[in-house]
Amino acid sequence: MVAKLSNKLSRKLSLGPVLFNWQPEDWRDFYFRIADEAPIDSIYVGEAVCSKRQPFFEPFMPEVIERLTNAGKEVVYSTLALVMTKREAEIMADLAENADLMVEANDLSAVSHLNGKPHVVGPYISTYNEGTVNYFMERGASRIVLPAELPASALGVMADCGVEMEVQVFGRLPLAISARCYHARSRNLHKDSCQYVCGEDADGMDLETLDGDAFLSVNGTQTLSHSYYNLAAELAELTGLGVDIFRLNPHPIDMVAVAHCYRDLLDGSVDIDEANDQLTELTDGVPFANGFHHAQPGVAYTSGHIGAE
Amino acid sequence: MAEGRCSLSSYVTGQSPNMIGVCSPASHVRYEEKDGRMNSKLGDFTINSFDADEPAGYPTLCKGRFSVQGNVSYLFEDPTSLNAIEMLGQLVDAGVTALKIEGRQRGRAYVAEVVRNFRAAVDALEQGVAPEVDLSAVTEGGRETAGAYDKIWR
Repeated sequence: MVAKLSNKLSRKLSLGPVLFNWQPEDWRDFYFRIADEAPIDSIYVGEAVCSKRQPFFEPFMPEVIERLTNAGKEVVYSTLALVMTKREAEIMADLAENADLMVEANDLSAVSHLNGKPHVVGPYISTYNEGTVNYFMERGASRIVLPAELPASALGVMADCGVEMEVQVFGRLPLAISARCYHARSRNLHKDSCQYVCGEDADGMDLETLDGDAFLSVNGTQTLSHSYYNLAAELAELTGLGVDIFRLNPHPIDMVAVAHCYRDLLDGSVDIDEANDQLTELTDGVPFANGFHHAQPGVAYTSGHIGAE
Repeated sequence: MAEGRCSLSSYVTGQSPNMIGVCSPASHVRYEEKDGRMNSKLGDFTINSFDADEPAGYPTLCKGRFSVQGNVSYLFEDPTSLNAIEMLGQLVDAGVTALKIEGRQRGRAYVAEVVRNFRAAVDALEQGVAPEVDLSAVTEGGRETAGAYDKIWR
């Protein structure tokens, strides 16, 4: 691998769904700006974490989808990572069966409703080997977003299966989902009367160890890494392995600038060190991680370019 | 944490249930005494800290004590054991035909004790008599919970 990509890579960038409970107007304006300014090919919209948030931004959904579509973006509708109640199951089934857009299934219960039509199998579904990839392909999956935990060696095997492969390359790592809401629990509230306290933390709530080390980020029922995953230095390797789409996860930072960094890397117009310098500035001191890719503890960050000459 | 869909352990140790079949593996556990306290660590992270007179538990990541906004708590899971033995009748009525007893990363004595009690409870249920069960010796921290079977748990 060389530090600068000599040939322009024809690979695509995507933007995963907003995982946090942003104010509905902020949520709308975020996507408007992405539509107008970001060099991203596929945009995922919809609630993947907690169904209680959905009614707030849902009224803005049509105009967001329209703006993105008019800007030439592919729009994919993301669904819940953990479907628990009858009502959630009904909403999910209706969406899976009737949506005009491509749907991303993030729970196996969604996969059954999408059987036989093109859909995306999302990163919250445990796709860990080629047998699973083939199973989803036979049921109509046209794209699979692999779990972030997988190392390069596993990505390579699965990317050979002949379905479009997407992997996360930027943003906090989704590490766990639970029926229990930890934001509510942190305030001694129950989930059913949560007062939507997760809305106070636009980039998740910092969780520290008893030594005061930054460790995790709590987002309602979801637990994320504190570090931002950053595979800027590994893009060329991922492309070589056959990965087609590189996913950025949204954070309350300048995501348009982040997208430009990655687009420039794919286009070969910036080298990895320059891109990482820019990303360091954009992420305001939050540490990077890339351990999962290198089969190390996920929190590890190997700076420099693995295998670089 | 939804089981089978959690990569907290590999984030810290590189090994997880889905990748290797372990969570919070013992190979990455350390206990360190410092200032009269016993700190349990997994990889580079402190998962819990105990007073001298407190039993130091195993640092399973989601059962650790952490700090959010200055408050220290067992934010994810309390150190307690799920015990649904009192609900066997309801579970059977709901259509449950098999019971899973956790065995992975548990000792033989633990598994034997839990299985013996559940066997007795299932047999008692079939015969329509009151079961005589006692799992207090094997529950974590001597505490048990109905977990997610109680709505308030969420």
